[in-house]
Amino acid sequence: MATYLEVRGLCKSYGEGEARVQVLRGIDVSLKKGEVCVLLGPSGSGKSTFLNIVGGLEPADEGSIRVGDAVITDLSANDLVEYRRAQLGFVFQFYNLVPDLTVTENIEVCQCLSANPLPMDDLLHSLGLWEHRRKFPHEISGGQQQRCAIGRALVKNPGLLLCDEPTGALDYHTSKEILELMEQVNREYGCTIVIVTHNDAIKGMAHRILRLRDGQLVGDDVNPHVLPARELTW
Amino acid sequence: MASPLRKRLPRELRNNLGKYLGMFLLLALAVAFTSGFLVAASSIQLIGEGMRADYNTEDGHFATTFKADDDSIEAVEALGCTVVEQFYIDAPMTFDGATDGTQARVFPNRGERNQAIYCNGRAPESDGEIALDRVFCQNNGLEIGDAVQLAGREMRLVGIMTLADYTCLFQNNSSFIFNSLSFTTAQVTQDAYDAVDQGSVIYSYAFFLNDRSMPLTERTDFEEDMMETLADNGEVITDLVDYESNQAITYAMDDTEGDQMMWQILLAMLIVIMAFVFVVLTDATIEAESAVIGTLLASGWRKRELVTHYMTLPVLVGVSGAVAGNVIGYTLLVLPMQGLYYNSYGFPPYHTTFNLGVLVSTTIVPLVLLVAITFIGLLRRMRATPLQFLRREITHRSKRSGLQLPERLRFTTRFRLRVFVRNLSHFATLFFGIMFGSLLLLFGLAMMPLMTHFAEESAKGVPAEHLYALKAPVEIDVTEDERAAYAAAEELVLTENLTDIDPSHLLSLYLQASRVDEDENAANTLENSPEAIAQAEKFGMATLQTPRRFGDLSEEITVYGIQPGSRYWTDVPVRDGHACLGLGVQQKCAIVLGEPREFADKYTGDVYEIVFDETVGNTTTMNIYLTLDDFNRLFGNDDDYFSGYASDMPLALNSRYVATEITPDQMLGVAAQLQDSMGTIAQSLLYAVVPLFLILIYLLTKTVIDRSARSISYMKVFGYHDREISRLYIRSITVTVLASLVLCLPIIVGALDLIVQVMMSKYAGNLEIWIAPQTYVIEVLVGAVTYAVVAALHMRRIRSVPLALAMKVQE
Ligand SMILES: Nc1ncnc2c1ncn2[C@@H]1O[C@H](COP(=O)(O)OP(=O)(O)O)[C@@H](O)[C@H]1O
Ligand SMILES: [Mg+2]
Repeated sequence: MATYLEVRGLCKSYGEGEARVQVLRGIDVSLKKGEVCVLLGPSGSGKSTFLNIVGGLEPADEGSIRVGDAVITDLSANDLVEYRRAQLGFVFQFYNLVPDLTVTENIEVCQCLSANPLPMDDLLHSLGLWEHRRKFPHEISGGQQQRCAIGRALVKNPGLLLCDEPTGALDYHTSKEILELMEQVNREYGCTIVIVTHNDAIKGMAHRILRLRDGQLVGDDVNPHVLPARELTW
Repeated sequence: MASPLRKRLPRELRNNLGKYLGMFLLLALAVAFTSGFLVAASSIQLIGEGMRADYNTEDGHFATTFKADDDSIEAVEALGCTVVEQFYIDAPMTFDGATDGTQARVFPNRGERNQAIYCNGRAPESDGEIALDRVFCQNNGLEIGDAVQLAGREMRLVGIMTLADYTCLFQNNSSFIFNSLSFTTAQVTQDAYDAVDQGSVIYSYAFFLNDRSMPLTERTDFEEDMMETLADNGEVITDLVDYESNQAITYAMDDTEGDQMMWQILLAMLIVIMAFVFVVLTDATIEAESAVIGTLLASGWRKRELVTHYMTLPVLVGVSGAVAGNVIGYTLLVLPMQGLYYNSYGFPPYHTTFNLGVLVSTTIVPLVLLVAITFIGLLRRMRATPLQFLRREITHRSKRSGLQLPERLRFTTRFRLRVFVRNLSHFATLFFGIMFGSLLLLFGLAMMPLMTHFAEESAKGVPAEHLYALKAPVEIDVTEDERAAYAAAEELVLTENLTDIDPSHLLSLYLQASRVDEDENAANTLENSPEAIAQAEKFGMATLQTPRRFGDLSEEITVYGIQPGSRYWTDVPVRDGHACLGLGVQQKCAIVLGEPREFADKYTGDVYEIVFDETVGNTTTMNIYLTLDDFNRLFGNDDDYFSGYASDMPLALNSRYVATEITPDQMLGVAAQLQDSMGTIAQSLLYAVVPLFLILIYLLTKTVIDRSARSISYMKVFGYHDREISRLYIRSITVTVLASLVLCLPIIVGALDLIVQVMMSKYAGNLEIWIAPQTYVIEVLVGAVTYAVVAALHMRRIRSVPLALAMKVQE
């Protein structure tokens, strides 16, 4: 299968002079279309920074990133917005739903950005939110809110889904439900997924496992035995 | 496809009803009051400006000591004008409920010139009938058919009117304020007029230029020529008043204009305040929704689209507030505002004229400014990157760990300090908001006491129970013989046809009159007690003008020549060669002690130079003082010249010589009148200002507490009691509010002083900002109570939100 995401020599630092911190020190990664990739690493190792740069939220200092046909490291700020609009779904640890919009409406907020979005009803069923579709965020549980956030990221039918600690704020069972949902989404819609986590157990469901330490890639393995998310334990 | 965020708008509106209602009301009330007022005032101004043409108002008038010869009048008319006799008598008038000392300025029925505009009834046709001024009647509850006694004669009120040259009832053009309570104009038939005692007739002549559009400078030249011509013909002029300096004609118009300026200042303050509120509120919204905005931006929403979304409600609220404000202003407020003026001034019947300028300044400009400022504020906020939004780093609070606090401080103290430092921007917002609000409130609260204070201070400026200003020096300390001689001479002069007098009596009159010493001052023909004579004191009085500090107008100053060691002017230590300067003059005209200053006589054009050695009086003192000897030397008068008596006992003076009598009571009358005329405008200002202040404090308090709501929920989760949380959060807000209320006072007073100075640069007199101590207290109390109520209500609401819910929604 063709390479979908290609990162070459990615470097990033913050601060100036004395206070300068080199967060990413030359990362090279290629992911294929439809791969589920888990990015592991201790807190502060640069995982979020990596994800944010790939998502076009932050500029890289050095290196290049290609997503599909676009070299996003060459894009202007405006083109980056168009790139995110067309290709990207973001899921964060906190759900950041619009508090005065219902579940359906929260998803519609991103549905309108896409020329050929996923059908809403199917999506709501897949997300397990059909019964809750008319509720407001404060009327549903944290796991359901995260489902809604995933639905919002998915509805555009993005090529790339970037998830930054999507289960970080959830309990064991709910976390597993969310991971199962991702697995299902990957199967049904064929999007490439990058999941950032510090939870080692999650690597079991990934096709690719990347390990980050002090800004360097210390591991890049293909998972020989991909487990269904249902069977993960920690 | 329409933005799905649109569905938020009605919910956002409902959930934050208080906030949007507050913004709506703020704008609606501001627009309603200012447009209501300005529309009324500008309509009145149009009506007033039309009067000159519609009712043939004079271009000016002059008065002569005695009736001017026909030749003199013809000579004046030959210069290019028409002169019309407008003789009058200020006669005492009484009726049920009349103020003591009420006077009517009685004119015979007028014709086409300086018309009487009848609002009710008709012109007097028989000798027992009288017409009086509308405002005076209104103030005294007089109606058609009522009986009044004019100089002892019973008259029936048949007409209620306004004279075109008396839209405002000034008895004396040099007064600071008009008097529509105990002074009125009156029209009677010629016969009824002749029946009133003719001893005190004022021989006043109105003139109408052939070229009615002559500019002021040319008119001044014309008037100088006129004075010369009259003098050449042997007339003694006692008065010359140009249309533009005639307060009875211009005061009402100036007042409407000045008040419009007051309201425009208010409007400008309101616009600043509203812009401030709109920016603060949208900022708070953006801050609260920071993470959501970050997520949407990360998902590919464009900033432009989000800006549009966040602009929608402020624009909707703004537009509807502006529309509602105009509707309320036009339908409910124009007439009451108009009433404020018609209660004081005699304008012709009112009709509203739509004024585009008012619509632009009260509605379009504020609205456009509000939208623009909100938009710019939003754009500025939206400059942050999606990540900054996601991390809630859009406010300048990233340096939160910076401050190291000594360990020995108690935890609560340290915590409160941190809350304070972290929320510094909120507290700055509170401070500025409270400052604006207080400025507004103080502006409304202070005007009335300021006017009363001014009148009281002015009353202190009247040194004796009676000040008699004379047309010519008249001696009261005279022998019986001298009195008789003058009485005889007077009878001879006042009798037009000497053949009417019994020949033997005429002879004795001649004999007695021949004893009059032409070189001496005239003798008073009425007798005064030796005690009265002993305590009366002569003084000289003249009016000169000198430029004001601000603007290019001149201030009229009264120059007094008084006795050194005067028993009346006890605090004015004049000596020969030692002149004193009233503090008010010094302030208003920026005069420096020890440096020569020029003063001009506006009638003769003569310029006098005076050097002052000392300031006296208070900020309302618009006089300068010399010794009577210096005074006479300065003006080149005879040594024994003087122009008035100061006396604590009433003096019997021959009325032909008395120009005016001033008493402290009149000054108190001035105070009453000021309260009457300024009071209404100050009151209406207060009606506008108080609700606006309440709304402003409500919005600010609510915003700041809302911003702390999340931290408050956390504290509750950590196990703090409500009481402890209040101590930690609410107390620091409360302290800030109270401190702001007090600390902003000096800034506000400075700002108000500036506003008053600018306002007064167009008017006579010196008005220094003065705020009654109780006004400060009231202002701070109103602010504190408003805050307390809003904070208590709002805290109760926050506490009533279930914890779990509060936590959930926050992230
Ligand atoms: N905007 C920033 N400015 C300065 N340092 C930053 C910034 N963002 C992240 N860092 C630093 O970069 C390092 C990596 O951060 P991050 O990518 O968030 O780590 P992770 O997600 O792996 O926990 C951390 O040491 C963090 O302090
Ligand atoms: Mg991270």
